Amino acid sequence: MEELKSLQNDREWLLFELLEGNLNPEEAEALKAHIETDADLKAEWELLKETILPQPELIYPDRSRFHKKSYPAKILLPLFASQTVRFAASFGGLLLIGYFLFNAWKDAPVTALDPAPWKSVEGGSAGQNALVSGNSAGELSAQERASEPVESTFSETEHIPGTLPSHLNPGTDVPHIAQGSGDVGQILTLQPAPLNYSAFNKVGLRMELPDHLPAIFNLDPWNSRYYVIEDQTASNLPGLRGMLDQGLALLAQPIRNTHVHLLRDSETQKPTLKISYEGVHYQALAMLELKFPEAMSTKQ
Amino acid sequence: MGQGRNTSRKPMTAKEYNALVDEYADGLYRFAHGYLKDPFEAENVVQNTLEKLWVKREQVRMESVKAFLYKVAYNNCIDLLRVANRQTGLEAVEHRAGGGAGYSDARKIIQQAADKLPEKQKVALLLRDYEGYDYRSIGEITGMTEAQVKINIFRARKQMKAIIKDIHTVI
Repeated sequence: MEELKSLQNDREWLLFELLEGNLNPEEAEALKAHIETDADLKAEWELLKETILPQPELIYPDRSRFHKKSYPAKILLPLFASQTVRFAASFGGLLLIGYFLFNAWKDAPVTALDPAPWKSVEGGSAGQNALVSGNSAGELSAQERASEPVESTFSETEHIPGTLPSHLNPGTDVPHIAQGSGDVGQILTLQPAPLNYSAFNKVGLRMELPDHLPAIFNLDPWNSRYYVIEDQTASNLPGLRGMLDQGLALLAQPIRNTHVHLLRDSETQKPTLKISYEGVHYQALAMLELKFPEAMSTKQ
Repeated sequence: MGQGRNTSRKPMTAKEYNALVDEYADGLYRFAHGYLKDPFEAENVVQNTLEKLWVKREQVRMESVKAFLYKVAYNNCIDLLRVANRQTGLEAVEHRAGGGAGYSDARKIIQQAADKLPEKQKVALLLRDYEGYDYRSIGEITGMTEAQVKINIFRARKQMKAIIKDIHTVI
């Protein structure tokens, strides 16, 4: 710095260096001796010494209020000092809570199925529950109307919802196979139904599925048993309605990554719906073997 | 400072933090008070500074705690002064800085002289005389080079000397 260099021989600068303690002992002694011989310089030196700020006697009031308490958790669980471990522990705790909540929900008693909308479908009419909306009833072909199953085919009374999965409960006439993670999936019944269901599920959320089987999922927690495929590109299936019990009623919960695939056995042409879906706490897969009246299933 | 303390990257414990509070609260308060001349704002500066240390305790190394504290306090003071200057103009700062106080003793005279220094000279002088910092440490806190710090302190003493001389002459 130019200014610094130009000051080296300045008297004021030398006094400053002395005051700041930047001179070596010999230089300091020599300068002090010189100051004593020069009255003006001594006056300057005395004034300069006054520029040292006296430290004020200030005490910060009540500093103890800033003190932090030691948390015993860190002493008891020193591992938790690591941020990563803390995060993992928190995540594990959340998983545990989720697990217990999920189990509590899963173990809740299954309420009886409301037969009203079911019967109206089986009746094939746009009744009070209006399963068929607008013009769809009129668009049904005579063959479709004729192919609608009779009520006795899908008797609900022979199956107790919430008991064994259907494929382990052959005593029932449940025509489907459901499988998934754990005991997920107990399909009560599934049957062909008229094409248009837009009025069936007023709170339904339309979802465009990857395989172009548009479906409506009922997200109404108070009426969560219906899974509806409104239409499909497979021309041989005019429509499906699934009435699901606790297992696939999970579909009624907020779900994501849902995929529905229509599978058909190459030899028997027996149709199966493969539904994979994810909830907040689980992934599941349901294979629904569809049962159709002969007239429909053979309609190619 | 910091002798016997853990200088590794282990996060500061509450006990270590409390010890730092006890050690530096007064010094920070002196510094902020000397700079702002307002006891309430000086208290706020200390509070903000110590809180920031607690928040940043996992990043601050024990050996650089003092520099961290004074740097935060200094920046806080500058912010407050800027706000005060914007709101009320320099006169208000002069007033807060003790304008109008009588020259009843030498300490007040010196303080009066220090209050009239430009900002950089004042902070360098405060850190030098109150806290005994060397030029390098002052530079780290204020963002100046060592040479700039030294020049600022020189100019500050020179200016103070002139003010004190004038006052002595008047008296």
